[in-house]
Amino acid sequence: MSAPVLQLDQVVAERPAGRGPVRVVDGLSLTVDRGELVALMGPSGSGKTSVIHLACGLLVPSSGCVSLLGAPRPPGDQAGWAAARRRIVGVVHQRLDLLPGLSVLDNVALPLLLDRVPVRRSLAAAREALDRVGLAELVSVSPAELSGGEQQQVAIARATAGDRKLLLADEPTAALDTRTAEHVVELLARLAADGAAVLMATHDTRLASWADRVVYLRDGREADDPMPELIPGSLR
Amino acid sequence: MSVPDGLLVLLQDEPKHGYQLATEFAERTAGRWNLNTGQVYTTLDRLARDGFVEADGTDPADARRRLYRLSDEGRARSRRWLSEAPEAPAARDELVLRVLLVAAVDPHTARLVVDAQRRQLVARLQLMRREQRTAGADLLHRLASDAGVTRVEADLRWLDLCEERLPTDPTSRTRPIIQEDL
Repeated sequence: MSAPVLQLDQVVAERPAGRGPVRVVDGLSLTVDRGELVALMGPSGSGKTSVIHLACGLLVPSSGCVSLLGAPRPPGDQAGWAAARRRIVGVVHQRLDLLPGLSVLDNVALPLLLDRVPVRRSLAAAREALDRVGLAELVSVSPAELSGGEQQQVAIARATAGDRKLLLADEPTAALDTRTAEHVVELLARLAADGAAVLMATHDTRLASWADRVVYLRDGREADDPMPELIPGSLR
Repeated sequence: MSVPDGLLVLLQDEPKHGYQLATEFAERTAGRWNLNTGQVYTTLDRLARDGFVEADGTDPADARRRLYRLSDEGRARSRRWLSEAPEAPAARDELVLRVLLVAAVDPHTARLVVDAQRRQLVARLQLMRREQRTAGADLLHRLASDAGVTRVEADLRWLDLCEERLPTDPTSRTRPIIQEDL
């Protein structure tokens, strides 16, 4: 049994707020394995985005440990995390954020080019990633010509291009209509079935149901069974 | 009651006997609805009594099997049945019942019931989607399982609406009925 692609172990994290830091993640443990789509479900403010940020080094834990591919990441190792974001972890955000001046292919190849992967290899990897999401014929068009769903598919291709093992998606369908959203989540499920490890934050139960596993968050913690005990005689 | 109407649909093209109808009923409902042959013959007798089908001799291959064919009244009844919407079942829905009984006296706890129900339904939907992924491309099975999926999705949508409408402030409840141990 190989190590999980992502592991959070008793992680606590805080964010600055008006009256001092607020604890946004409170002792959370979580794993995502290869071939698995895990959904993070919870109301807004429950810590979903913070968990996504912890998993790609954009938020530093104040205690606990984040590991990628079995290797604990030293907290505060910004250079290490930046490299990991180019090589191991891809992120898809809720807003559509492709660069309009570049072709679809160049958008997808960009993180690899920035990582000094040779041009020919970067473009080949980008083509392969676009092929996986079903957009092989659209390589040369501008993102502006694509529908919202297609743009998000390109963003998923960009986040999975090269040999990255972990795909993080923070409400990836927030900007899309229901039908398109379903299509995008179906794509995430297929990428997972093909061997990727995918962690998706969502507040939409219908989308979470595409996941292999659903983790419910509340106040930065995994939420237990919500149903309280009934007191004898209290229900009339 | 839909079994007699279902049998009338199966009799559209040619006379059939009870065993044949029972087999076809299961096939054409993707195995989700099985009738036993005795039940089919009882229903056919009643349909014959009421004039919707007529006896049509016996199966040439097996004289013990009585054949039935559709009458004009039966054909008209089939057409009506296929085009009219079934009676609405919503009023006594089990899920609705569970939420309403608590929401009436304790909206805050009702939210927790909503939350718990939602988790169960998400788990059910996960299972259904997994089955859909592994199942073959058979059209009848796909349509039947789509029906299951969309109904669970509708229930989830209703639970979302409940959460929006139920008040959030626990101090606003009139009479606490359930201990909170969250």
